Amino acid sequence: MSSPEQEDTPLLRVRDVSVEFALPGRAATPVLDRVSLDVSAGSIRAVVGESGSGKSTLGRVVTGTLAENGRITAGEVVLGGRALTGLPERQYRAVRGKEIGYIPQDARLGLNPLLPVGVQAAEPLRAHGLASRAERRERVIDLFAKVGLRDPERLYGRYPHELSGGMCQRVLIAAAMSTRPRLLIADEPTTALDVTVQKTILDLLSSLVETEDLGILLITHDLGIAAERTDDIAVVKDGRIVRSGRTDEVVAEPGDPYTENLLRSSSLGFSGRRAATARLEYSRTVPADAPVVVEAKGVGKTFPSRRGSDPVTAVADASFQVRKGTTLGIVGESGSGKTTLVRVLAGLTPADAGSVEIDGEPVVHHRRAAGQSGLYRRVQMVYQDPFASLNPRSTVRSILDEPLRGHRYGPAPERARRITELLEVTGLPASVADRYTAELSGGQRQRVAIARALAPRPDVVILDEPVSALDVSVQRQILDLLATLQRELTLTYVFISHDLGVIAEVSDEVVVLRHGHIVERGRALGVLTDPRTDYVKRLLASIPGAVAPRSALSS
Amino acid sequence: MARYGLRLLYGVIVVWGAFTGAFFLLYVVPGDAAGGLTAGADGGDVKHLLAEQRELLGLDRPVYVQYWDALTGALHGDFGQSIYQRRPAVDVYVESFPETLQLALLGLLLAVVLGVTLSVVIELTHWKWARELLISLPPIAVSLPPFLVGLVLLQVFAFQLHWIDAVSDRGLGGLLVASVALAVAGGGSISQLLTANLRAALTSPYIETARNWGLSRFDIVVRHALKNAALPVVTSLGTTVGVMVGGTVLTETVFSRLGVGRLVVDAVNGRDMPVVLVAVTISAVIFVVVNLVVDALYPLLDKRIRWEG
Amino acid sequence: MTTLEVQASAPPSGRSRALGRRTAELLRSPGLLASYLWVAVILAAAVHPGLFVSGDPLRQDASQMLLSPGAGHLFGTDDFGRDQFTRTVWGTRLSLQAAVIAVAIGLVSGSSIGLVAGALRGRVDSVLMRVVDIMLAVPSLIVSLAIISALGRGTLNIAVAIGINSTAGFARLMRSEVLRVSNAQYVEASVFAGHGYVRRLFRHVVPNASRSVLAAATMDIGTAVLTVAALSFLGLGAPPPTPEWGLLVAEGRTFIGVQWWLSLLPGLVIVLTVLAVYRIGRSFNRGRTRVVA
Repeated sequence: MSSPEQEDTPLLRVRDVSVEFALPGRAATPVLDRVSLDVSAGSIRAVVGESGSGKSTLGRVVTGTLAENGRITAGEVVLGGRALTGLPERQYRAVRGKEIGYIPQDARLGLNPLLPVGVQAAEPLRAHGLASRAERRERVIDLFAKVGLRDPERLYGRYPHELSGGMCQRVLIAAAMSTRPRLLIADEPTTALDVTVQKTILDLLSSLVETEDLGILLITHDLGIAAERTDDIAVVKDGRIVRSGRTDEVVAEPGDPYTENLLRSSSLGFSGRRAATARLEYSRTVPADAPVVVEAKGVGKTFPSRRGSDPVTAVADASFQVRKGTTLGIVGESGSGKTTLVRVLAGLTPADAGSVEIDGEPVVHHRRAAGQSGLYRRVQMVYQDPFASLNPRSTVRSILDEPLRGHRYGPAPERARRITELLEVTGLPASVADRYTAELSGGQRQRVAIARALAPRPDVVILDEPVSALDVSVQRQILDLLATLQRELTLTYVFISHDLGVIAEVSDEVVVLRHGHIVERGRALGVLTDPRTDYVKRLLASIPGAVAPRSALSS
Repeated sequence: MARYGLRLLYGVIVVWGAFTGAFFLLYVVPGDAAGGLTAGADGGDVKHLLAEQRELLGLDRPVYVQYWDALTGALHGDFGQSIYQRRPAVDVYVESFPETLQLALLGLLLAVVLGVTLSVVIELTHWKWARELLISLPPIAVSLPPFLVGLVLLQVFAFQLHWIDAVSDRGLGGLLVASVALAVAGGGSISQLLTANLRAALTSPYIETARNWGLSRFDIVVRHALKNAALPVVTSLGTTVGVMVGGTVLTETVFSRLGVGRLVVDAVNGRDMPVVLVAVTISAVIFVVVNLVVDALYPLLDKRIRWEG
Repeated sequence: MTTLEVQASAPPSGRSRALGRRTAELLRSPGLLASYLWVAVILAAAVHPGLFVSGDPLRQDASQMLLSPGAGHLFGTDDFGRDQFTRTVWGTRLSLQAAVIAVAIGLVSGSSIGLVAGALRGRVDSVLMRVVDIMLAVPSLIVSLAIISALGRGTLNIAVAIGINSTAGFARLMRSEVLRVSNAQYVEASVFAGHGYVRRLFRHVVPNASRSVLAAATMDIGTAVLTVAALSFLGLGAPPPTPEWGLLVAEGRTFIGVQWWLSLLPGLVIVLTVLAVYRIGRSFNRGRTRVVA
């Protein structure tokens, strides 16, 4: 790794930049407020912030691609001694893609579905007239090999849908590097990828910094990634930089309450042992002879083949038990079958094999959930995205009233009392009752979803990635709320997540799913500190910042 | 390919359905075809005439027998005799067909060219006011009644400029003006759909990527966005052709061209059921064929779609 | 950036706020405002033509034949000396009535079919959708012509023909909306509330699915005005002396070379009406697609 020592003139210099957005019929909204930062050649600068902090806008300021209603009101951006702010579009275009490379967030969506990836990777060369048609092909194939794509010749003519997300991201990196830019803007380059793939992409970027003397502006919401991979950090909140400096210094001494909070909620310095041990304290309070509430025996589900391809085994022979008042954590990457398993547990999808019992009664799938109200008095579910799982045309009150009516909770005044009570236990102000969900924040919406799940006083709550769609600081609050509720109401949780960090913190027992098979299971502490399979070891190693900050790693 | 065979079968069902629906609508629901023919006759003759006609047309038999005869006849290209022209309805139709085909094809071509060009120009226009002006064109085009467009063109080109004959101009000029009249609505609707799709495509992440590669606005719109935006337009080509076929009815009336459209209007006015039946059935055939062609071409445009695998 | 977009096109919030937003949108968009005003004028003319003209649309006057547009006769006079403006105003009722009846028929029958197909799925869905496909396979004007040849001429028959014809489109739209909304997570989540299927359908699916169907119905009034005029133009609507927009255009056609206004001015009224209705329909449809950050 290069030394983060400041050179005399940094590659990129952003000075006191302010940006405003104009919305029809409203006063201009400031999005960035006097932001300054540098990126040196051969180093990575992280810009860390939660959604809406303005971090992506900062990236757009540098690439000169602000939306039409955005305006830079002050400050300047200088790349290698040349001022970019105020450059006419035509001249900016000569810089964009040539001197500044760009890697988008979701690689699959970031590529045109109708053009072969080789042709697309050659677009920067074509746009800047850097190579003839024949040369372009050759150059792209070389680049493909360089970014670690196997069989580049054959890959050239492939279409994005034929590639995995990680491969698409490599194609985009190849495209960005084709013109040998000095600066790379990477906007959440790994957010859409599974953790194990995420690690390989970050490795690739780190190696490019070294071999190409590249400067990277890495925009991310994940302080763990920033701490592990970057030399400098700038933390953005509400359009302002609240903390900026050398990465190891910021991590050691956040100095600012917001940064401190971010650090605490991030995976940084995460230790499976510490999290699982903390949980152990709670686990001990659960009596050893607590009754088994959820029991799955040999659950299997295969989806029929789609047009010629083989049938897909989503879940095979899954068995486990969950005792009253405990949490079973189910971990798996995308495509591991965890969603299917949940749906079988909740009676939303029929299983092909095996059985599920809740409170000793079998869960049976019925078309359109006919006659399932008995089951759903005992089992409730909280989904990942509260925006999607709450009807946008209902007020909070009617959302909460619906299960109360459905499960015949009682007459109107009694239900109204219960609604007040539900708002209270989930930490929502009484005033939200008459709001629509669009008017609430993400965290509040998820609280509404939890309140709805608690309404019929269920025994079991299935939590399907309940914090994945939320900002890290909000995640913390929701996890705390769930822990409190479990303790006070003796709830049994089945908690699904792709995030081992979250699973470690909330689970008493853990099940690790891969390609539909349970590869590991046991007490949370055991699985997290002493994994038996390589897969789980790899998963643990992929948690960004989990082992130690980057500086410690490289020394 | 098996899937394509299924489409073919499906197309046959659609044509059969259109034929059957039209048959029951035309022959069973109201009075009947004989009524149309005797409409002009007076007094005591009517009853007698009616009975005679019914017998002649075979309308006195049970419905299912009539239907079966009509269906087997249709399969052999026999849709019965045109009541007015007293010769096979199919012949009457087929004779007028080339006239309409050239009008519809030219109209379709113009509609596609005009529609696509307009949409692309809208996206490439920088001046705000010019852009606003251009954007307002497609909605106006679809709001113009085709017969009115025809009348305006007729007024201008026949009466003001004297470039074409007002009645039944057989030359190229006449054809061209008529097909412009036909193309306005179709071009407007293509452009409307395409403009909306282009706008959506231009907000896609892959456009953001292309922009960051330093591509020009033209390259972004034409090379990256247009193809994606055009896919739904291609899919709806069958419907567009339908609009064209419907439009010929009005255009031919306005320009006094003797095509299928005029034939159908006359047939409807005179309740010449066999001719109407032919028109409905052949329209369905055209729709099915266009869609089969689109289906066959689609995988070439979008590699995500494949017949096998 | 993203959050700003979300704010800009947020789904319906409080009702009063939604109303406020509509008013604000209206004031910002002169085209939309003008469209509402024009539709109001047209509706007034349809309900009470006397508000705009005092004369009798059928009164002939041999001394006033084929006059050019002017102060006394805004749209000129026809070959029987009838005032064309009076006839256009009086024609509003019949034209509009037919369009509204047509859309009502299509909307009610179409969305019922679509709802049944989308809700029951399976075989019922397949059969209904095949029928819909067949109806959509034949160009709408040809279908309308076929229906009119069965029912006979007349403005009401035109309306019925257009209505039957547009059923297929509404059925398909309603079905796809029902399927789309049914796949929404909040509909699945409602299973846990313990209600039966029908209640969930009408509480969650139907209200959310109806939005775009109603927007389409608004647009369809414009299309229906066009089609009614087209069929009347072809002489399949009301018999001649009756004032009706399409028929007025057809009658003026003979004089297109010289007295072009006889056709084109009533035609202009049709165009403006269709434009206004489309504009209003589009404003209903906008902001429906929500931006997810």
